[in-house]
Amino acid sequence: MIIKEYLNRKFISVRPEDSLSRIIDLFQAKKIGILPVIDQEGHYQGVITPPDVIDLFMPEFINLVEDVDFVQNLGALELDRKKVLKFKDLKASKIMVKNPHLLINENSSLLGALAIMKKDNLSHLLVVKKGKLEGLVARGDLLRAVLDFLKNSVEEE
Amino acid sequence: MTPQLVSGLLFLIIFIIILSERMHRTIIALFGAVLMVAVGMAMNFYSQAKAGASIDFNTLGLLMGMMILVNMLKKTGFFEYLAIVTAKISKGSPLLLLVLLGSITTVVSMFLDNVTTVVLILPVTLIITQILGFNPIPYILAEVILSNVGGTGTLIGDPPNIIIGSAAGFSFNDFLVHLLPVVLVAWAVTLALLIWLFRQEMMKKSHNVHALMVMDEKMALKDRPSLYKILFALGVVILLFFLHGVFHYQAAFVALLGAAIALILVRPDPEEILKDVEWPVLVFFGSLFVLVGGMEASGLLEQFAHLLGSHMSSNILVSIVIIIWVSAILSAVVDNIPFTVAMVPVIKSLESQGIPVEPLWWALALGVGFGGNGSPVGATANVIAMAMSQKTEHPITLKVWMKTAGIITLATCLVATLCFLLIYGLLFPIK
Repeated sequence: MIIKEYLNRKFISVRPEDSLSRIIDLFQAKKIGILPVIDQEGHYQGVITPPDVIDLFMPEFINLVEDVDFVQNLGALELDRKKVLKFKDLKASKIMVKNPHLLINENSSLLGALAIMKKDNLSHLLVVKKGKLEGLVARGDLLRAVLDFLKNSVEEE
Repeated sequence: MTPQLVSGLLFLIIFIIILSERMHRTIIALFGAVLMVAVGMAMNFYSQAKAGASIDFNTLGLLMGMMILVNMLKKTGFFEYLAIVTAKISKGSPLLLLVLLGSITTVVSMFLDNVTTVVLILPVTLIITQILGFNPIPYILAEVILSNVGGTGTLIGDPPNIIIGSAAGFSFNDFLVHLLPVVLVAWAVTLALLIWLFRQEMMKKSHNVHALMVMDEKMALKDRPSLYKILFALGVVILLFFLHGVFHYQAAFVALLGAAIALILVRPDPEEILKDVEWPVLVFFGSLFVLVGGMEASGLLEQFAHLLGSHMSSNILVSIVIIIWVSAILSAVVDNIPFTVAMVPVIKSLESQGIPVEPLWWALALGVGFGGNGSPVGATANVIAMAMSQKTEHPITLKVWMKTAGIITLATCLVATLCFLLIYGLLFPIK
């Protein structure tokens, strides 16, 4: 079983100059977990996930201490409309993440792909050929496929 | 091109590059150290052996031992716990928050070195102040300044005191008698000045006090059993420092003994602990020792001491005042430890010229300690605070530093001067 069979070749993407407002609209309206950023020539530039958006509002101090368990309420650092409005025109190119671990070969096995996802804490992997994004694989799809295999193996006993 | 000139010039150039921050100070210091040895060998005033001997391993060992203890303490969350409990007492009042956080920093600095105190207290201070909606800078500055002031009060409070104590043969108790009273006065004056300098911030009101009050300090304390073990080890360290006059253990031995006790009681992953020891700092200090050693080997420092001695009037009071201020000014510009290291042979040379040096050692300690606040590079704690402030919305600039810490440095040196004039002029006159 290779991931090529589970590749979503149809996906929603944004351009590098698209704004945060548009990105948020897409996440909420289309209920997707990942937005590839593709430029005008069709080249893959990076991805944006909901955590990347929320990171914009995370307090910097989480990098300074080992643990933030004792903080129950962020007080003045909590989300408010003013802070969100400050970022609403931020461009996708400034939010996107270019993570080399996201890229995978379409002939990879399911378990191999899931191993990468587990190691790098990713929910999707991308197949990019000659700078163009061929498609995405979602962890959920792969998990279900493997569970099917497990179910079939157990039943054949 | 005499050796004195060359060594002095080399030190000066390296020093200026360090101040300019064009590159990491450890890198340039190490480069300078190696260059000093090379030049010294070429001009025949320095050698590899002398360079090695210049490195004060007692200081490095003490620092390392304390870094280990403090890294272990850090993991228990003790300092976050302490800071949160203290902050809650303030109930969000900026003035009380400044006084309380500043004061626990002063007290902790008297036992743990300033760098580690600051490294532990600054992050949680940043969190607390930002959650309250306050500008963290006044609090960060207060803690750094007070860590330098407090650390001057005891033998183990800061490395220069350890170096001086070792060179002059002073005990932990000698420091408590001769320096602590002055430090207490300076502490009060510093707090008053901080409140006045930041009076705008002190008048602010937080709309997020509830967020502070719901902070769960018990969650910050991650490992109570280990905490007790580490505090025990620290207790042994302090006790042995107290009894330094009895056992004559080197400070490095005591600190490493404490670290070893803590490690064997807690048995953490040594890689985790040793990973966090600040090796760049240790390499920096080691390199500076070699650099200063070069100046000493060339005879420059002894020349300087003779120059100083010949200009020193027979009036010891004037000498005391000169030492306080010269030490403070130079210490602001040169990091404390190497400067103190450079001054030790100078004062010993003055002693051999028949000058009564006991008050001069104390003057040096106060000048170096208080002078460390005089610039952003005057003490390592300052450098750390500056770096951390860059991650906030109000990074500390040189200008901000000078307008706050600079003024406080002048005030505390004035306090030291007046106290010593009183003590050695009126109460216990020399000769």
